[in-house]
Order: sequence, then C-alpha cells, then structure tokens
Amino acid sequence: MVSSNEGLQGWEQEEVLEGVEEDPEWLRELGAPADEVRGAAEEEVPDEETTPGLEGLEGLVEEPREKEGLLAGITGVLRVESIFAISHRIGEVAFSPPAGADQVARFEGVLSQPLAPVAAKEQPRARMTGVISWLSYLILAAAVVGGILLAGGSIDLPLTQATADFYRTIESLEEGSVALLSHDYDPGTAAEITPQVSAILDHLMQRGVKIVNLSLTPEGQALADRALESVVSDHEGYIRGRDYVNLGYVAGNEVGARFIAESLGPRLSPYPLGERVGGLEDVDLIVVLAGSQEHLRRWVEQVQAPYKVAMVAGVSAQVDPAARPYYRSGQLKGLLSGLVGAAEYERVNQHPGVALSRMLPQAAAHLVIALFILLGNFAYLVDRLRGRG
Amino acid sequence: MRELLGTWVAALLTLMVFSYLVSDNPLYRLAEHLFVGSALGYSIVVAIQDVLLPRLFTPLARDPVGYWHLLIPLLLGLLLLAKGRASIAWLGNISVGFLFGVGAALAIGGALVGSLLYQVRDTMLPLLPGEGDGGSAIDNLILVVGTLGSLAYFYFTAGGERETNGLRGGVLRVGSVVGKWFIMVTLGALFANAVMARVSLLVGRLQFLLGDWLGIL
Repeated sequence: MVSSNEGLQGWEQEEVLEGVEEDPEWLRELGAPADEVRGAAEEEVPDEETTPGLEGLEGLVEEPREKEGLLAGITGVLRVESIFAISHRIGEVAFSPPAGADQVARFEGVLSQPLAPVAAKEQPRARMTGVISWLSYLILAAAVVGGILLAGGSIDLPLTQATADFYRTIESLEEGSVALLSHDYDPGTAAEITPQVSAILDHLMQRGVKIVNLSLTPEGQALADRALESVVSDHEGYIRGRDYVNLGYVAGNEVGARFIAESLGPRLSPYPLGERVGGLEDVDLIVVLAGSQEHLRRWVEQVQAPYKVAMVAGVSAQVDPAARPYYRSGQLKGLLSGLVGAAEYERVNQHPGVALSRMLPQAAAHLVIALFILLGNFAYLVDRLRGRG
Repeated sequence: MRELLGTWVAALLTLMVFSYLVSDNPLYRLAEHLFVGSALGYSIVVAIQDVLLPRLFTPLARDPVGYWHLLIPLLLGLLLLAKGRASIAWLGNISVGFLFGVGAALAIGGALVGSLLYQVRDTMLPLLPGEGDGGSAIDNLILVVGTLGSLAYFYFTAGGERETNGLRGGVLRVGSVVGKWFIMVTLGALFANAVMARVSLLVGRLQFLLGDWLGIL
C-alpha cells in the first residue's frame, strides 16, 4: 500500500499500515510465492512513454504507483485510507497541498495565458461591430425623427380588403344598434391599438351605435376609459350610462369571455343602457381589440363560434398572422392590423388622426431596416466568398 | 400641474429605458422595476375593486342569506391561500383542480368548435380555377400545399426501412422539405410583423418625446 500518510494521526497511521506486513490469506492458499506475483505484475506494466506533443507536460499527470500487494505496479488507485482517515472536524486537521498541486497551478497558468495574435485580430473587429451598432441606432432614430418632423406630408396608403370589410361591417350597423368592445391590450401594445380604438369609436359614434366596453386585461379598462374620454368630447349628446358604458375588468380569461356571453344582461342592468340590452342576443357586433393572439382566440372560440355573433378584430401587427386564418374562414368579418390598419381606417373614414401622422416615420423606419437587411446579407456574402477564396 | 408632472415622469422613464442601448445600467433597472411593480400593484387594486368587492364581498355583506352561494367561491379562494404553507398545501388542490378542470374543458371544447373545425373546413378548397377566378385557384393551391407540407414536416412517426424507402417515405420526404420552406416563410412573416409592431412603439415614444414633452411638434 502507498505509504503517504502525511497528515494522519498516529493511531490512524497504525491502522492503515496494519496487515500490509503479511500477504493475504487467500493468496497464501494459492501457493504462489508473493514475490513472484509481485514480479509478474511489475513486468506487465510497461514503462510510461511521453505522448508526442505533450513533452512540456511531463510529470503533470504522474500519479503514485502501488508498491505492494495485489495492485503492485498499478497507478491511479484511489487512496481510500486518506479519505476515511481524515477527521470530519475540519478545524483540527492541518491540510497539506495534495501532491501535484504545483503542477496543476503551472498547467492553469499555461491555459490562462492570453492568445495574443487572435486577440489582436478580434479587438478591431469587436470595436467595428460596436460602431456599426451605434450607427444603426442613430440612422434608425434619424429616420423616425425626420419622418415625424415631416408629418405634414402623408404617404399614399392603399386600402386592404380586411380593413375595407371592417369599415363596411360598421357602416352597415343601424342607429341604435349595440356594439360590444373588448379592450384586451396593455400599454405594451397601446401605441398600435389606441389609434385603432379611437378611429373605431369615432365611426361607431358617427353611426349612433350604443357601445358596451369591457376588458379581459386589468390595464385594458383604464386604456378604454382614456380612449372614450378623448373621442366622446367630439360627439356631443353621447352620455355615459345611456349611450355607452365601461364594465371594466372581467377576470377569468376563457371563463370571463364565456361569463360575459352568458350574463351580459345582468351586468348592464344598473345602467339605462341595460333596458336596451337584455343579453348577448341583443348585441349586433363584437369588436375585439387584442394585443395578443390568446385574447383574440378566447373571443372567437368561446363566444363567436358557439353564439354565432358577428365579430371583427383590431390587433397588434404581431398578432396578424394568427388572426388572418379567422378572417379568411369568415369568423371575423373584418380585420385591422397594427398601426397601418388604423391609418387605413382613418383614411377610409375621412377622419385623419394620429395613425396617419405616424405612417411617414413608420415607412421611413421600414425602409432603413430593409436597407440594413440587404447590407447585412451583402456583407455576409462577401465574407463567405473571401473565406472560400 | 398634474398633467405636466405626469408628462415629465413618463419622458424621464422613457429615456431611462432607452439608456439600455448604451449598456445595462441602474437607471434602466430602476425603470424596469418601477414598471413591474406598478403593473402588479395596479392589477391587484383592479382585482379588488372590480372583482372581489362588487361581486363577492359587497353582496355577501348586504344580503348573506340571499347570496349564500357566493360562500362557495369565497371558500375555494381561501383554500388557495393554503398553498403558501407546505403542511396544509394539499387543501389548495381542491381549488386548483376546479380551476384547471373548468379552464381545460372550456379551452379544449372552444378550440375544437371554434378553431379546429373551421380551419379544417377552410382548407378543403377547390384547386381547379373557376371562370375568371384563376388567382383564387393559385391562392387555394398555395394554402393546401402549405398545410399538407407543414403537416408532413411534423410527421415524426414515419420510421422503419420500409416506410423511409417506399413511396410513402418519398412523399413524406418531399412534403417535409416543402413544409419546411413554408414554415420558414411563416416565421419570417411573424418576425417581420413583430419588428413592425416594435417600430410602431418607437414612433409612438419619439412622437411623445418631441411633441408632448419638448413641444417641438
């Protein structure tokens, strides 16, 4: 056994060395002299040769070789005695650095040396990337600010079919009809949807439609109130409670949407508008204003499909791909998508507002981003061709 | 005065968030934490004012006998609080089970009736052009090929030598390649729409800074 018992107390050393003096009993029964067994084992173990390329690391992986017993001549044996013999009370044991610690430190030193040539090459590249990022931000900001400052000159905006259908659906509502607006968005998407809400409310009030507002998101009710305040001021004669109400936040997601479908009448009963609306069957159109696709899906799945109510939606641009199939299948009679949808609506309703004023900076930003994408792809292509060359 | 203060606070918070462009910094962190904290606080107040008070506590306080059935949701709600203590957390399982059961039933039923049936029906389209309707036929063809290709791409259970080498395997291989391209175009459209939405936010914020705050517009 290995005799490196430094750090062990006297009685522990005695215990560890006990039994090493004599060969084990089973070996003596075999009849082979212990010396022969030892000699054979030593012959089988070849001398260590240095692996080509690792000459500098000689000695780093050197491990103590067993000198006695069955394992004589073998390296890398786990020295259990040093594990069991160490007291669990760490404070009482004076640890000495394990064998080879200085070699490990040397190896770590080699690894931690900076790769000078690579670093010298990478540094300007990283700096260049930082400069390009900053230039990109500045150019994008300049394009947007320039667009805002030149907001007087609007751009020609084609009317999409989905927006035209939305407009026609509201245009077909008669005076005194009832529309239910669900404001399911938050401040994160308000920049896109608030202009839609203003344009839709304006059109509904032009048509003399009674409006029931609610929200499946806590923030939606406050945003709805703000939009109502700003639009109602342009429509004299629209009275809260009689012509429009805000029922506020309805909790429960899917359950909330179904709950409204089942119990709209009782919710409206405290208001004068409640005399006109006994339930969902008295609602002529549901307008979902959704900042996420989950909100839109809730209304379509829980209310539109089972109750067959006419429904249109105004959504954030990122929800558009998810909303488009519902429009195509006819479940949505019309669809407004993002700020562009709001601008189209303002134009078709001949009531220019904030959305139209934002179209020029939006278009400028899109142009800049498209240019960046082309430049980036061109740079990538050049880089790749150089690499191949 | 209140409006002016609000505009200044909003403008400063906007600038603090924009400061992230320089690097992650304490000002950005402060704005981030303020937003999360105020959103949570606001939601709690709304839940109390719009849900708990008008629909639970006020009716119960006014007419406990008439509204005795409201004791059931009150009890289920109180049981949810038990989830906060490990030793009695099992009590909350009743409420959680009820919430999950009702939610899943509504969501699955709604998805089947409201989405799946309509969308499957809407994919069964005529591929031959009618009179003067060639554009629509191309549109339908793209939709059908895209749907079948995407389904083939997600058909993971095709296996075994017979399936991969035979006619079925060949059709699946070609279909999945077509489907992959359709999926890539879809993801591109999703990303482009997400960028468009973010640009709208940027325009909105810069318009606020230049107009409401600086008064340039």
